[in-house]
Order: sequence, then structure tokens, then C-alpha cells
Amino acid sequence: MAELTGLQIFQHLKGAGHFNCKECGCATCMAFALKEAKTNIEKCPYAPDELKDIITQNARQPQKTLEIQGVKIGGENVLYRHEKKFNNPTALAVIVKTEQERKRVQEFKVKRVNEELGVDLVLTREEYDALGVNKIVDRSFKQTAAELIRLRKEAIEQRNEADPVCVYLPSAGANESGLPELCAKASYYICKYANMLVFEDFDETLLSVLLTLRQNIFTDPEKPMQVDPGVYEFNDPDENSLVFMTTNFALTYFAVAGELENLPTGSYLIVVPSNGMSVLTAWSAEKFTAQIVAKTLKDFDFANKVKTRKIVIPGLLAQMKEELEQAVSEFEFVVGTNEAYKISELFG
Amino acid sequence: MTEFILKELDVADETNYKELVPAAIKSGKQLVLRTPIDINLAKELNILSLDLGLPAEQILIDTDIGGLGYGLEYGYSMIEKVKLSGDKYLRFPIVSFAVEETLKTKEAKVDACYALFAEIAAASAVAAAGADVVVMNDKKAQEVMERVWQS
Repeated sequence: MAELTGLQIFQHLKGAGHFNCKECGCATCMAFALKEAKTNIEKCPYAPDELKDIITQNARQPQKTLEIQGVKIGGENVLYRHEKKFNNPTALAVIVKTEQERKRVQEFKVKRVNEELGVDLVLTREEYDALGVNKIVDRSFKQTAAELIRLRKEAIEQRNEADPVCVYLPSAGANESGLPELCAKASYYICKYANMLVFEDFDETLLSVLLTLRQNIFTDPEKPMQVDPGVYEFNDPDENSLVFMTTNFALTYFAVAGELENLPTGSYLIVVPSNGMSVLTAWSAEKFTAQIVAKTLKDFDFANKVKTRKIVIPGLLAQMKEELEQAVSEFEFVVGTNEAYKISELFG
Repeated sequence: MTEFILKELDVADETNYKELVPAAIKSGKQLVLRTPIDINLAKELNILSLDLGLPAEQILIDTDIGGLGYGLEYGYSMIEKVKLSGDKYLRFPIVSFAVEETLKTKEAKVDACYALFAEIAAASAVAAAGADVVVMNDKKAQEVMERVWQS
């Protein structure tokens, strides 16, 4: 059902017989149609039923949000994360039979990009059976995948508070390719519309990988991920090791960190707080300035941590070299590469 | 239907396509045209390559991607956008090297078990996004993907 524009709402109100009566609190029907009608149609005593029905229908969510033991699932309303974002990460649940199993699952935690992640729900078989969600029992990958896609498309088209969808993954058994096959399926289902996955099997490494994938897919495309500012160390640097500097945009950090990992020598990476912006963006938005760098180095007491007196800055900030050296007396600033992937060529 | 392959492919980008495209025309082999997660640059490289005479059937486009845990989502969404585009200069099979990128990550390098699961997860994700060809690294992983995709 298509969204009504304010103008279309006005056309409906115009023919309702009490034009500009002001009983809704607005000066004109047009003002009410543009500002209030979509959320408060009931304020107009004369709005036609047909109009009220359309507006009520449009206000309905495609998919319900449910809370299970404090974990929110569902509430999704797009097919593609880039349309807006996905709202609630696919909840990962494990069914346990013994206290020992429960303890093992509950103790599992991984830290990835400032988030501590683990299994969201530890359930008994009875607790799983009692859940009021739309359950798919995974038998055939092709069927489960097709059903997940069908249900999400249907929810979005009908806007009728559809139930969140859960995929139950039977045990993979003792077969050596059991967990790898489970990994392939679960990964796909996380990307394509499962609101919850319920596992009979539990493996820490498998869950780490799935949680990492989930974190990637469910990031808000409009809010780039940031890493904590700080001094990061690679390959056991000592007081004379190379020092690099960059912004705290996660992708920038990862690109540079990946290169520093692969250098034959140890190094430091100073991550400067820059609102999670990339190098050029931060510089042009004045979120990466000589003053901010000076303050950061002081906060980290970096001059007293190393003997190195040179800091490598991104090549794209070559123009900052002089002002940095004026603001920071203890260090010389060396212009590095424009692209992270060239770091190993220059310094390796 | 996504293909999970193990073979080597020739890859061209904006720095070397002027040499690699004529070579591909001669050899008749498929050529990957790679651009840095930018839909306009992808179109541009495709047009330039077609203008040099590269037959359309030989083109595979790679809009590049970060490894699992290292910004995979940017490349993932780019694949979805290309698939949705309908632009005639983007209507080529998409190939993804998400596996290669993922195996370069720290976590994959230190733990073989993680590497296997991560290879599979990355392959599965880009296949979900719409990649037509996914380049795998490990034969066992490739077999897992084929088996699951047919099941």
C-alpha cells in the first residue's frame, strides 16, 4: 500500500464537508494534512473512513518487534541494509540440555570493535518450544533460503505486523563437514532475513565467525563504525619502533592495522579521536587538526613512552606537516603513503 | 546460481587495464575488472574496457571488498546495489574475492579453524548479496559450499 502524500490527504479532507473548520487545532485543512494527519488523523472528526483506513494501514509495521528474555528481535522493514538499515541483529540462540552445557555457552564471549559479543539466548528445549515466533525447521538450504526471502518480501508488501522468523538448525552430527555446512547456512540466513537462529550445536570458533559476520551486516550504513582512540601496538614494538598515526574511522584503522601487522618490525599506531571520519573527511571537517593531535599525544603521554621522535602521518595530510610540527615540539612528522596498502612497500 | 571456484583469474584495474584488456582479447580468457567499491568507477572501467574491444562475455566485475570483520559490509552492499542497478554497463557477472581478503586478516592467519569457518562465512555472505562467482581458497571449503548450495 503506497504512502499518502500530504497533498493527497488534503484532497480527501477537502471533500469531507467541513472545510477549514479548525476543530483539529490547525488553521486550515492543508496545514493539518501536511503536519498532523499522518500521525493524528483522529483529531479530524470529519475525516472519511476510507482515509482513516489507509493512514492506519500505513502506520502498521511490516514486522513485529518481540522481546525474548530481554533480547529484541524483528521490527525489520527493508530488504536491503543500504535502503536504511537493519534494526535488530539476528539473535543467536543455543538449546542446552545440561548445566555444564549452559555454563559453557554462557561463558563464551568475544570482543570485536568495542563490542562484547556472545550467544544471545541460552534455551531449554521447552523454552524454545514455547516461543511465539514463525519457526522454520532447516532441512533443505534451498527451501529455507527461499522461505526466508518470501516471508520478508511479504511482510514488507503487506505491512501487517508479521511475526519475526526463526530458523531452527538441527544438529549437524558427528560428520566432519557438519559444522562447516552449518556455517555456510547460518551465514546466509543471517544476511538474508532470519530474525533468530536456534542451534543444537555449539562451537566457540564457529560462533565467533558468525558474530563477526552479523556485526558487519547489521552496522548502520549511515553511522560508520569507530574504534577507540589510543595507542595500538603491532608485533611487539620497543621504544625505538616506527610510529604511525591515523583517524578512528574503523575502515581506516583496519586498513592501516592490516599493513602494520604484516611489517617485519614492530610499530605503534596512534589513533586520534576524529568522530569516526576517514582521513580527508576528518581534516576538511576540522575533526583532525594540529591542536587535536597535540592534545591526543599529551593525553597519551606518548613522548614519554617512546624514544622515537618521528611520527608517520597519512600521505593525504602532507599539507599538515608544518602546522603539526609547530603544535607538537617533541616530534618530527614524516609524510607517509596516500594509500594504506603501500605502507609495506615503503616501510617493509 | 552462484559458482564457487578454485581457479586463478586475471585481474585488471584502472592502473593496468590498458595492457591486460588487449591481452585478454587475444587469449579469449575471462578478465576481472576491479574497482574500489564505487559504482561509478565500476561503470567507467567497464565502458573503457568495452571501448578497447573486450567482448562482453569475457567480463567479470569485482567491486572489491574488505575481509570478514574488516568492513565486509561495504563491499557486500555494493554487490547488492550493482545487482539492483539495471544499468546496461553493470550487467555483467559479479566475482568476489571476499575469501582472499578474509584469509589476510589477523584472526584467520593465527587460527586454521577460524580460517575455515571465516572462508565459508565470507563466501556465503557475498553469495547472499548476489555474487555470481566466488573464488575459494580451500578445496574442502569449496566442496562444502557446493554441497550446501545444492541441498
